[in-house]
Amino acid sequence: MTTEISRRVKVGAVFEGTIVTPKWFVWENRRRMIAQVTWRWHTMDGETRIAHFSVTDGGNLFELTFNPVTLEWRLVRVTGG
Amino acid sequence: MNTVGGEAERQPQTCRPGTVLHLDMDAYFASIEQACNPSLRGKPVVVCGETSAEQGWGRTIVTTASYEARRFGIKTGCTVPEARRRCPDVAIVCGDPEKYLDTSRRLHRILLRYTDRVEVYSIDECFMDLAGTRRDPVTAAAEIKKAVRTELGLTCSIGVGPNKLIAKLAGDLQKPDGLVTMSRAEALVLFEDLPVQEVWGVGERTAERLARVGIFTAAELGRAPLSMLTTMFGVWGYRLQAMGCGHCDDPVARHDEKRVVKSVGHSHTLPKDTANVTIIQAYLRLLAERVGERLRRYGKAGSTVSLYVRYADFTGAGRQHRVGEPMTSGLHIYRSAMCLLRQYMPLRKKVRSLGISISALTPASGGQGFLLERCGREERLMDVVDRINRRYGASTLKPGSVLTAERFGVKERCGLIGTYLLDPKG
Repeated sequence: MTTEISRRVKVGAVFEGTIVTPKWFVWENRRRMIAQVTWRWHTMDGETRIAHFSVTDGGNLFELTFNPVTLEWRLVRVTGG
Repeated sequence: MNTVGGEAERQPQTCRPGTVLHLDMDAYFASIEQACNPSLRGKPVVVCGETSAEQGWGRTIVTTASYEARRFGIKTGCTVPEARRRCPDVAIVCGDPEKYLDTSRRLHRILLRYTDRVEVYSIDECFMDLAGTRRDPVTAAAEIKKAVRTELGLTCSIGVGPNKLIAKLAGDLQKPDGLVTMSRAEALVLFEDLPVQEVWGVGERTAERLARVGIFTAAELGRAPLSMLTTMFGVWGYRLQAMGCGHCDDPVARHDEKRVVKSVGHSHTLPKDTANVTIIQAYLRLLAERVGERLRRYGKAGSTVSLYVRYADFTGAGRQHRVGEPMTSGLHIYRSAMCLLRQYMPLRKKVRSLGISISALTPASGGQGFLLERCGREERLMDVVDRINRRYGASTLKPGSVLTAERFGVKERCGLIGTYLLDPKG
């Protein structure tokens, strides 16, 4: 089951050159360690290129987005594993 | 004919059938969703276009089924309830077109390492021509399969042939994860038993007409008298006969070659069927705005408006009319579409989906707004609105009446391929 969240979240990420990799994020007052980034893709919001990450904590699947202009991370949706 | 199924690393065959490759991603949308979600891997999965679980999925059509789902007889185009009847445990995923488009762009970047002759045929299919690249086509095909697997985590099937027709036929022979090479001589042997509708470019209606004169296989098409084919199909008859002989002189287009835009259209399936005219009008306005924005982006104006209405019982009707002055404005398109909608009134059935298309395109003249001050103001307004929406995202500025449609429910799905081909990003 997929639940739409669309909320700002706190994320720990590694920036290597032009590659961004989220490592953990906080949701429902819990720090979730990202076990695997399963997919990456981009979309355009006007002129802003938004990075999308499909990530798993080993149980659930999450979609995170990163806006490189506002430096804002959002949790878009959660899918129960 | 050589097949190298499932083992891209195997040594390619020595046969050199041609330089044209046809690449088709295997169960593309479903494979991406399985790659995204580890819990779906190895399981029957269908990707559909809309979320309507609360309505029992009755309206929802399967756009792609994973190979695991296909084993239950689930195919593209069947409804989700039908898929569930065939396989109660099938996982249903609502598709994400932007994710698939972005992945296609990554695929194209892999293919462009080999040649700039990469023609995007659809979101998950490409033709390539390696002529003049000094690369062995079969070796290159094996390398491409390996790169797609390692860089994207997906599999594809590739056909290699002397032209697009035979390359596509070869690629369709072995799926998933196939690599098939085919020469024209080998294709002609296959043509003896190949149903004519399986020849690339022969549609269902053409096949029906050919069947009426006793042509059922590709080989029979190739042997058919040219005079008969040209009498039946006009100039198209020459091409049909050539196809039946395994010939196809369509060049593979360059990746940066822009396709000629012949029409611009948008359609939308409503979240639920309705006969409420206010809501239908709001969707028409929304569609008209989208069509107008794209026309202006392509520098085109159109003078033929087509409206298609599909009813809840899946019947539908289309109407079109020609206007005097080519249009680019959403408001003008909407007014023309409304003229057509009035011909459907009173609505006897609920409406399921709507589509607007503009054809008879001509280059936008920059308008004749200089003749009329009011037209000039309208064009300046459209230009400002377009610039704001391009900068801050589609529908940042929109007519108030569109809000009615948005409240009813709008899911972005339309115009995928055309948008990508004409406006590649990233």
